[in-house]
Amino acid sequence: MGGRWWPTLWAGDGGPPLGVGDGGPTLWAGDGGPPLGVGDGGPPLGVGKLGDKYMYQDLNDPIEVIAVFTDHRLRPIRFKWRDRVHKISRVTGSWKKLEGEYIVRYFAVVDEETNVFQLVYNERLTDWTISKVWVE
Amino acid sequence: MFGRSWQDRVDGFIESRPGEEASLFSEKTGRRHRRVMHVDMDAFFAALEENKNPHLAGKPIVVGGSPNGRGVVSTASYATRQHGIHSGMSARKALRLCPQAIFVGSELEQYTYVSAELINIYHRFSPKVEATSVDEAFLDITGCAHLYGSEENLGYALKKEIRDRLSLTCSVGIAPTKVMAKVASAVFKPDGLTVLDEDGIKSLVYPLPVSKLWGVGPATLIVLEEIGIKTIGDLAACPLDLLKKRFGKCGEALGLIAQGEGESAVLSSAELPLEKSMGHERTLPFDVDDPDYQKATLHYLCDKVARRMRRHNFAGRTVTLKLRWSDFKTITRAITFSHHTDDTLHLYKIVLGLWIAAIKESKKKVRLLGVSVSHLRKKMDNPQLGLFDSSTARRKKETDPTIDRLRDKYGESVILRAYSHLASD
Repeated sequence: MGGRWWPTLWAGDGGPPLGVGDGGPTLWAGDGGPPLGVGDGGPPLGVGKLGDKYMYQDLNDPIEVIAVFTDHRLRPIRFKWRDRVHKISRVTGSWKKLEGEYIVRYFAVVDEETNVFQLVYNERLTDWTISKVWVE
Repeated sequence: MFGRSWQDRVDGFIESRPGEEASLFSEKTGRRHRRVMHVDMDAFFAALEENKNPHLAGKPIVVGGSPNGRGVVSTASYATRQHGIHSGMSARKALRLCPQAIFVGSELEQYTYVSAELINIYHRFSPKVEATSVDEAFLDITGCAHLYGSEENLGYALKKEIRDRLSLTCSVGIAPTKVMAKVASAVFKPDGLTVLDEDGIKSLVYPLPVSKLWGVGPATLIVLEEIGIKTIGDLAACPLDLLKKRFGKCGEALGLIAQGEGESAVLSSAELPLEKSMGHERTLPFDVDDPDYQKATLHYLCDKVARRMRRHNFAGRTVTLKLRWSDFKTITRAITFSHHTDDTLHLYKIVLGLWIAAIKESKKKVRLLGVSVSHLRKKMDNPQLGLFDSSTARRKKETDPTIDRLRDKYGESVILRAYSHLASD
């Protein structure tokens, strides 16, 4: 599937069943990159103020996301940010707000390396962004 | 049972048990004994932040502004409170008191969303829910104990529902009045449950300092201490005539509240009185003497206030400007008109006049600006444009509704008035 990074996702298509922690298919080339964290060779996150006690880095980066619609809910399961793929092990919080008539959905997620992110899905723009990352 | 209100069903249940009916009414007043529950979420914001981020579990957390700027503490986790940190404290001071504290910005959209989820849960237990803040609410549970076996069971059922659905704990107080229920919920925190009857009020509540009573602020406290009232029990025992002499009608009401009597019912959202004023204020990111920046901020605030009034179909005729100087001296200046307004530009012109007069009083820089409108009244629906209105006047009258329609569809930030741009979020 030249140029495409997403597999066929449903049982019966030859791929494994999709689910959190299911050892599902590798979705992007270069998956399995180094753990995220300042100073680990990961991508630069932006300079925080010296001595700043704030541990969340505010961002507004576009990301690619694979999500499932299940139990009348939308749930992200993987995302790609700065060429690195993060498999979400837990959604630790989800909420939404109205922007005019449109819904913006927020997801606090933890990946398999316990990195913490906040993802945002804008229904009007039909796009995903990463709005926060926890930096230690 | 179909079509009957919740209260009808409870009354019917009670009527079917005639032997119990007499005990539900006060011999003193003849009124039904009311039972009120107060629910107070434990370190609400901090608990939500902790749930979202496993790195914060068990750590001392402060939610609010940055200690690098002018931030204040919204909430501190229990691990942090033992260092003396509390809501409203400057973040800088909080950092000095607890250098190992982790500061996290507020996520207001999430807190508001979860607060709405909590209200949905409360409504499973009572149709009368009065949310007094994002993390506190009163429930009228009169006649509900039978449905759960006891008030304790009802309290535990509510706590369990909140814990299972939202992974949050709360402290609950149950008493005959709202004030006593609020005092009760604070007795054992966090994750507490306190049920008070008359004996319980005497043994648990009366020895508490009178400052713990809702409605006793610093000024009232000074006067109470002057007349020898130090505990809630002292206040309950004080003759009502004496309290009325010192404080007027409020004093008598305070005495009755301490006695567990004479208080308002739990009000549902439909029963709450109309707002008396609407306003917005802003602490500037730095002290400002630039008049253009101040005017832009005032324009922005007027836009927000007027928008809110129009959204709720209100107009007002008293406009108040609040101004705080860099030395924290605060002044307010107000003007009342004969006619009501909800027009952004009109409001701004009024506020500008007040501001021009106010800044003449001092050369100091300005720290905070606020605008509020009172003497509100509901507007007529679809007021017509005047037959002889000029085209300019018509365009002006259509500007606000047009901008409102755009914001209703696409959100608040879709359009900004040019002059507000300097000061916008």
